[in-house]
Amino acid sequence: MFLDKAIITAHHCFRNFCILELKSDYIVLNTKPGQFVMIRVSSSFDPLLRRPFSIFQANGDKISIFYKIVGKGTKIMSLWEKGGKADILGPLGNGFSISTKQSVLLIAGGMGIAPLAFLASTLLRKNCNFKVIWGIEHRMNDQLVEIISKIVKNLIIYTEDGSFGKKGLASDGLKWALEKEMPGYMYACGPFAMLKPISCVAKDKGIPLEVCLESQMACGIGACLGCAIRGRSGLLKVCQQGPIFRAEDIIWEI
Amino acid sequence: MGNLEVNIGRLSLKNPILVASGTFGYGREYAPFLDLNTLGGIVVKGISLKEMPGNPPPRLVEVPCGLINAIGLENVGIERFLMEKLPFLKTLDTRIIVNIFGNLIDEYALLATKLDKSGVDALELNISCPNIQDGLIFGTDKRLASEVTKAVCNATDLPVIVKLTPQVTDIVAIAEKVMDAGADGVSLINTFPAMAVDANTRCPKLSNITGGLSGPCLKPISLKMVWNIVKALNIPVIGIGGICTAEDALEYLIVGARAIQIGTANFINPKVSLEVLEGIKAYLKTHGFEDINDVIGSLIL
Repeated sequence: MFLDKAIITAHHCFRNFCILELKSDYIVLNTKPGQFVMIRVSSSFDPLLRRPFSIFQANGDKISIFYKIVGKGTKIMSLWEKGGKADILGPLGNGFSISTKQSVLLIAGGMGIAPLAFLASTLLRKNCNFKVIWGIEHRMNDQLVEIISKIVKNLIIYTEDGSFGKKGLASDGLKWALEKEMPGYMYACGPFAMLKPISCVAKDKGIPLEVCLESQMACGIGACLGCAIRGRSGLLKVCQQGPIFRAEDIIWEI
Repeated sequence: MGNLEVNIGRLSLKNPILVASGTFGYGREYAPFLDLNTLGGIVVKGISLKEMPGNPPPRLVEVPCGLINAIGLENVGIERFLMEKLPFLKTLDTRIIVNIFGNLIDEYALLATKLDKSGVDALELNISCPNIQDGLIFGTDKRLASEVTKAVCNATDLPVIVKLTPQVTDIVAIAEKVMDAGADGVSLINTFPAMAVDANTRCPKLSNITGGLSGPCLKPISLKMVWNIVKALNIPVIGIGGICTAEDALEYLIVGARAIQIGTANFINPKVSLEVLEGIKAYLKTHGFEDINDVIGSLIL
């Protein structure tokens, strides 16, 4: 891990969704899918803490993150311009294990596409046979969908209201995918309420599943102990022992 | 370069920059970011007799210029600390101060006994915990604060610093009692009891309902408490609360703190302690001070 003032090489916002590209040779060389960076939003102290973001892409000497404007921190970030600098700490966390199984299924809910996009790019390079299910609320900006479809191959989009792609939730996409072909390995990232039923399906069908979890965290380096979640073996630190966990290691019942 | 060495009773520090308990893990977590040997000392995560799992999540909530935590004193316990964490800390050329806590006076004394000859440099007593026997928080009761300090001082030859809670009507009186009981100095303040609520769900934002507030919002409150104690008692004080920059640290030194601890800011900038130290060195040079001790207590009224 490394602390850096990275130059912003591109930044595009599509309404509430933004892709921020940063120059960081170090992170590109040292990262793998599923890892994250902590970004300092303000050089003053309000907002106080860094914000964690999954690495969305890492190519050449640049990484990017894909984020949604949800609060004060991301609102400030959305105003950052190309040429400016971002105070980043990373790469952090454990990352996905890369499956060599013949048929791999990736299931994303909402912003959960961010770490899975990086994973999909890696699987593509390894000539892995994979599909990506992405469940979103409703139709997104066409230009943004086009960008993401270019990055994420074999993408199947589900919208809750049917305004784009297939109608249904990510879990409907999972059902559909299972009927077509039984995957040998699965990865999922999204809200806890989405991951829980997916973990049940994985258990029932005996398919290994890795999930990418999020939690409130202050430091990202295992010092604050703030990001603990309930695991079968006790509390687990999302920042260090995760953010990628085997689904069977997590306690899904709230 | 001017002299940076300061003394907290029997404990000498090569510079006044310490990192606060609970914000710096067991030291090793920060080794990738700075040379730990440059610090005046490391106050390690609070240790209890038995390993503690801490509170269920969520454990953190950010508020304007502050952070409320309810980690619940999660720690590896004294035995694992001695076996797994201390060997690394002992390789460092900096003071290792172990923060200890318990729910009985005997627990504090036993922890002090176990650490006495372990090779650490000092103990810091977290007395913001409830005493099981009467439910009172040690640090809010003059008699209990005094008794726990006395018991620890009897159990060890190590320098003892007592970390004070701000949730009292008269912090000067508590400071006076623990000094009379044998402490080498006091450190203040511990986090301020606080809570936050989600108006939409009407639920508390922490699973523990309440937690401890830290961060820049605490600084003015803590600074005033440090000043009150120094003015009334002229004892060694370590200032804690919201220090993020060299200027923040200098404010504490100027009102009379002999050292400071950096806490929450470590989470935001892992190198902050080093930057504060460099800033203090630059200040000495700019303002023509040859000794940090000439800055300490130099408040002009």
